[in-house]
Amino acid sequence: MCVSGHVNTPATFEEAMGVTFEEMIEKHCGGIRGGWDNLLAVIPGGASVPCVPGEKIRHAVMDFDGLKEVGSSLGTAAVIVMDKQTDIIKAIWRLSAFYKHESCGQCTPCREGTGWMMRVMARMVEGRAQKREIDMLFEVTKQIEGHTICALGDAAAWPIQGLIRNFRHVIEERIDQYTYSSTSDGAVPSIAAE
Amino acid sequence: MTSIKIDGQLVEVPDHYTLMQAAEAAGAEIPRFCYHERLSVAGNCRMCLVEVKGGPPKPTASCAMGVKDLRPGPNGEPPEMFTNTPMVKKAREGVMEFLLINHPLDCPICDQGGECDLQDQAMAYGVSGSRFDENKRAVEDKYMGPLVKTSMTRCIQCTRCVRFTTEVAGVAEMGAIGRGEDMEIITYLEKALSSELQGNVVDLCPVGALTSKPYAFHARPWELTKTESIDVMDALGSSIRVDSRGSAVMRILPRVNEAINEEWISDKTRYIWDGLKNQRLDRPYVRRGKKLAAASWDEAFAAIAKAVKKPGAKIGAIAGDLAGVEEMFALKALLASLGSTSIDARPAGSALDPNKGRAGYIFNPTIAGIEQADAILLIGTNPRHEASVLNARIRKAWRASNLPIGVIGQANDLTYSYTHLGVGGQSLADLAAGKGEFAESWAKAKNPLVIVGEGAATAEVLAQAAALATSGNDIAEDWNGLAILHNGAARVGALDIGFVPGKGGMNTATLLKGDADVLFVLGADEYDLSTLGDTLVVYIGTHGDNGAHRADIILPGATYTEKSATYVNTEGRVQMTARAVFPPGEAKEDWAIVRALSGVLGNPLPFNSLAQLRAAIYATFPHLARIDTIEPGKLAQVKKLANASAKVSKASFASPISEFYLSNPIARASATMGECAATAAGLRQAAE
Amino acid sequence: MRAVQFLNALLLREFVSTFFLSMRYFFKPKPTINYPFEKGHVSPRFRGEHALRRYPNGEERCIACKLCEAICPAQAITIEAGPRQNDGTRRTVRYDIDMVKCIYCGFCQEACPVDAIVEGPNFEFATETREELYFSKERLLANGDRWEREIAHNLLADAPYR
Repeated sequence: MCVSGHVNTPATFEEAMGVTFEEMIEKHCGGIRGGWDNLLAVIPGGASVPCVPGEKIRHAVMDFDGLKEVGSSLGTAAVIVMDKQTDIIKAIWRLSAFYKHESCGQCTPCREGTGWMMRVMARMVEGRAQKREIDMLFEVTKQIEGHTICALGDAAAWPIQGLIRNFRHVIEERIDQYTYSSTSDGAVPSIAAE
Repeated sequence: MTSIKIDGQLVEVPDHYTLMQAAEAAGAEIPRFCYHERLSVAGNCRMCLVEVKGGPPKPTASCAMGVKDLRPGPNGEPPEMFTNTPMVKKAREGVMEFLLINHPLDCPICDQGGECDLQDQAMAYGVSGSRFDENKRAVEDKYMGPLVKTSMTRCIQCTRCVRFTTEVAGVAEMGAIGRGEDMEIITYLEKALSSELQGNVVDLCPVGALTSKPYAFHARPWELTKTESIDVMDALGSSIRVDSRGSAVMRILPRVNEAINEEWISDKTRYIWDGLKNQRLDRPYVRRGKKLAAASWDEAFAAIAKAVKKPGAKIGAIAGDLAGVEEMFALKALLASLGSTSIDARPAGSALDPNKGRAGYIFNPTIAGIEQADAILLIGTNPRHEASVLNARIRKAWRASNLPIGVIGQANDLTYSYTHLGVGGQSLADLAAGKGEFAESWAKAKNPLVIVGEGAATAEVLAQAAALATSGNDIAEDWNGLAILHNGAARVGALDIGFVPGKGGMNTATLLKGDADVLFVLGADEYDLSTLGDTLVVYIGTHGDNGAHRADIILPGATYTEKSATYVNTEGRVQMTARAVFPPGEAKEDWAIVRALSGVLGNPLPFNSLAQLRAAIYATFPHLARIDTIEPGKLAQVKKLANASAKVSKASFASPISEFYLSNPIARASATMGECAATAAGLRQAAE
Repeated sequence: MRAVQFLNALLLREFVSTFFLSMRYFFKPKPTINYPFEKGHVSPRFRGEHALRRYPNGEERCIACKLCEAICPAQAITIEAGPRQNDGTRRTVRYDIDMVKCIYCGFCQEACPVDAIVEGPNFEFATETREELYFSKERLLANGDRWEREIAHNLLADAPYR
């Protein structure tokens, strides 16, 4: 396993299947930065799997079935830990940007979909979006998932699905915030595409 | 055979079928963009997704999955797939949405509008609205030469064009650069495509990214009158569809004909149409003093009658590459009524002789038969230029079996690898004597195929070629491997009806020396007429080209799109063109000109209508009545040819076609073909 | 019954009521207009004389998509298209409407994706000869230039209902 992110001592180590997340972190990584209450979310299997909110993952068993129960998977066992300092939307947007960049362009859903998802995510990072677009984004990820030649399409879709499933309220808050704070003339601050 | 259940319907399909083919066999339509039956499977458009029972919980690309790849049910029931479930519907809608988010909404200015796969399938399988709020992608247009116009923003990256140029056309000049969203189809270094089959990418493109440059913006598919006809640009007689509007041919498209052209046609066939309007002879002319002056039909006929009726006038006739059987038959009958047998339709020096049997001058193994050949020898021909589509067929056979191919003659880029055995008769004799590596593989061949070009069709070469095609020990019994590749669409028809010198008649070479007093030139523009001296030349043809320049009397005829005429292709297949438009001005159908002239000359020919003329032809040559069939040549005739004395000819062989794009009067009148020739010359220069 | 008839005849009842009817119309505002000098109301949807419009920068709108030609039930429209000399864009070389054939159904303006061909508010284009009713592209563009203000106003007025 390889644990990176907001733990006190990020590490790569071998561990038996069936250990819980909490045990694993305490044993090898010296605990979460700022304590367990500071844990926001964990991506338990590399960039391609859905993230799991902190309260759900804490006692989850780190094997294939255990993580399936919390709506994610073990994947490559590259665990990414994020504490409450993290802007979870931006983190997932960064993953989207990665997948957009890595798409080879051979098959349609991935070629067209990754760019679309990344752009919508980029707007959501700012909150410059409509709430109905959250559902639309979710549907778009479902249209990519399983329709591509290779698994990159699935991998690009899952992090966003995890975000929407678990952190929808964060996105909605961000949108509200943006709507209230936007200037009266409707001017929209520009963002970089990547 | 494998059985598979499709939408609940049990069908039996061959083992090698893909799910898509199986579904089609069961009558279930599956939308597709990237899949094309004559190209390799790419599986990248994802439009053909279907649901497979017992498979993974996601749809499967039906173009890339074979029926044999499916697992049967737990109790051995046949595997099952569905094309109409909600999962499939959702998958199609999803893919269609993705295809459309970056596709411009410019159907009104797109030439593909009305015949666009994306348009049709979006109507059938798409949703009505768009949810895409971002900016659409724009892609810079690429240069692909004078024939293919690009509008790359419309590209959906199906890569059919890339696969066609690499696989069928055999020029690896197109590809995709960039990746992800930024993937673009491009000709490497943005050079013009060098293939003679490049026009086919326009048909292959499912959207309007690649369109026809000469046809750009000129017409809409729904306003065109479609006439199914055949092509006469080469001796293949490819099946084409002539699209016309009013009195003008607007474009020419291929028709599927597995026996001849599959569904490809050469660029000359496809883009010749502007030549059908330029430099046309639309009224008779008579030479007065130095200049040709416009005249009436009566004046022209009177002038001919005056010359022909001079006592002791020697009369001859030469037929060119584009003449139909009807007019040649009529002309032959006219000359016979004038007591002349000096007629010829073969190039000077050609030894093809209809008296030695049909097998001696046709492409015996048939074009489709090329795929059965296991060794090919090309003698004095450049099939890439003489019959591009046939060359693609050879390439197809070569790709399938990597068969040995030998070339005697000029070493050109033929898009496949071959052994260059030499340039002339000596190399042929060496091969016949069994010298060299190629001779060894040749001796092992069961279906050896010898393709003799017109440039090498001398008696010696024919004898040796026939020997090579028949003498091997392992040759299959029903295989007749002697194949003559003609250049003119008229040639086999002419040989079939015996348009060759009769007893005491002059042949092409003698006629061209100026030995005749009156020479009828039936569209023969490929010959050097400058040596004719003071022969009175009566030119019956369509374009102001070589023949018309030398002519003393011009009688304006009809092109192949303007008449219904019979042509026999190089395989000996009888085919008929259909009239798409009428001849311009006072021009008439050629047979009618000959018939009218015969009346003025005093012995009217015994037919007054095309039907009567055809009846007369069919009475003498019954095999010409059987349209779309081949009267096969007899193997014995080839063997007899092989037994003729085989002297070694010293000459080196050259293909008679030096410039592919300018090989006949219609092509020379076409601005598009001129541009192509210039581009091709530029590419050749750059390569050197 | 007879008595009623008698009274009606005596008091000229029908005559009087008719008189009042005419008087009522006599004093009412008149619907008749003095036509060449006065004109009635024309609906924004009125389908009158055809016009080809231009963009404000002078560029003609028509892109030669030929949809109007295709939909025209009277086959009154004839278009020849081709790439324009200077910039290669898709334009009409010829755009003719045979106004004798036209049935003023308005399908052409419905079909037009760029609002180029419209049926303007003008209905006064009677001619003395038939030839004058064969409208060419120049004539249609001139119509568009002349009526642009009204046409734009009408399109705007009708836009909410489309």
